[in-house]
Amino acid sequence: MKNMFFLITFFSLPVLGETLTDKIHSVVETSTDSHIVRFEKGRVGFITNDLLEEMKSNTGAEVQVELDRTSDIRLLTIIKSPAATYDVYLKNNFLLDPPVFTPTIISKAKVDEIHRSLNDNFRRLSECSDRAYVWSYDENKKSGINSQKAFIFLTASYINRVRFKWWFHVAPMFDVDTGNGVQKMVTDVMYKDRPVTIKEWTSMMVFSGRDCKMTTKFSEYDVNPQTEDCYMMFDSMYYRLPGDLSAQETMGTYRTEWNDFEVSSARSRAFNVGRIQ
Amino acid sequence: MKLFNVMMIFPLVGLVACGGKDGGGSDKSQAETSTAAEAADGVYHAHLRPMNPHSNGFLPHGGATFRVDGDKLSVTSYLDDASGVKHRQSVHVGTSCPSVGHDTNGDGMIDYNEALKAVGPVLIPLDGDLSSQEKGSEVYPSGSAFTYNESGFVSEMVNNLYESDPVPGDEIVKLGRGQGMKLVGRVVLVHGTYSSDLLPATIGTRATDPANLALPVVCGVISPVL
Repeated sequence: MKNMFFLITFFSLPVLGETLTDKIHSVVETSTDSHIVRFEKGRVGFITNDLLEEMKSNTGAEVQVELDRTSDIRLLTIIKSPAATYDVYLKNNFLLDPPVFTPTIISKAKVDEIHRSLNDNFRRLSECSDRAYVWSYDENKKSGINSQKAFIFLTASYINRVRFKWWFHVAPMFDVDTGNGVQKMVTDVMYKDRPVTIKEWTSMMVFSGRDCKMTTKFSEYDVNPQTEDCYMMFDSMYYRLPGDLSAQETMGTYRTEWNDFEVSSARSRAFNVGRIQ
Repeated sequence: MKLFNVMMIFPLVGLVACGGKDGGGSDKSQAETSTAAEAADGVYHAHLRPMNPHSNGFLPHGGATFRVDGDKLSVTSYLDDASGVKHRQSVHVGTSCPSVGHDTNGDGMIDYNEALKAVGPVLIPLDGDLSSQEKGSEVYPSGSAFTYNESGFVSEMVNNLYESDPVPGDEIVKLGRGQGMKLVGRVVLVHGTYSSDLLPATIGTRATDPANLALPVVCGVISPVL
């Protein structure tokens, strides 16, 4: 049952967009009167100055928001307080030393085959983090191939400029022997009909054509002011969410194995049972 | 206009029918043979992947599923995007979706006219009446998360597709003899995004449609579900 603590009605205008239920990952203050609320599963919403502090105080809370067609947040309902969600977050992590992870190098024919064989019976509005986690798991269990995750993070300045609707996206990534060296290729079955290079994958989201700055620290992306359009992080197949990446820095936790409960729950959220019918 | 076309071609239906149940097809075996040749029983699907996502900053996704069971064809399509507008959707004669190279005017968008050069003309409008290219015209789903369900008879569709073209040279074509409806390998294209200042003034459109409504937003190639 929902613990509805309070309801905030921001505007009296009719709601024309969509309803989103998620946790508030963070709130990015910009130099304009349009600030960005980043939700844990990747979507963004926009708020004005007068709501900034109130939204910041609810970082970590599970909320339901209604967005208009340009992703301005029209209505916010707090479902679970920040403290409650933080407790769950801590229990789901485990402390380990920094691990070494070596991706398997595969042929171009193999990555094409993998792309064709990945489960494409996804649910409508499934989350990229769930799909990518299950795709990586299934391939690893089937063939033993170690893949990576490619995370792209869109900066606040970019999101504001093009009104992009997500702040991150993730997909499985494979090391492919092209015969002329090893190239990283992304298999994002929902959005691409074949394995694509990092550049082709990011171009789908970065309309400026700028390259994304590579980083190994989530904090490098997660700061203001942001001069880049996007950042990229590569990590092992065991990672699912940006929170997993930031936990390396903030809590010293690393993911080195599959979490069966997460696989199961991600599968049920992201995919229908059986084949397309 | 489309209603007029229907009235013009109606007398031809009986003449060019190739065995459909409503086309003077009293020979049942002939009808079955024809239907099987046009679309074999089975389930076919097209993943509809984003085109022109920079038109509104959203990565849309959809699907179109075609179920053939004897003479019955059921179509279910859906689209999840951020544009609560009317979404024109059709099966085209082509076999591959447009790529960046089809943006011939270099404005960063593959507009309606550029896309049609890649996917070919419309064969089956996924509109208010599957049985005919003319009936149900302009009845398309709307909304930022639509689901479309429609069914029809393969024989009726085939009859209609082999009629003479009432408006030669327009965006909708009829089949030539022996071509076959052949769903597998054909392209599904869906259009429509909301109007915004992110759309360049150079994008082409369809007839008198606003350019944002004609802009392709997702595309996919139909393949059998194995």
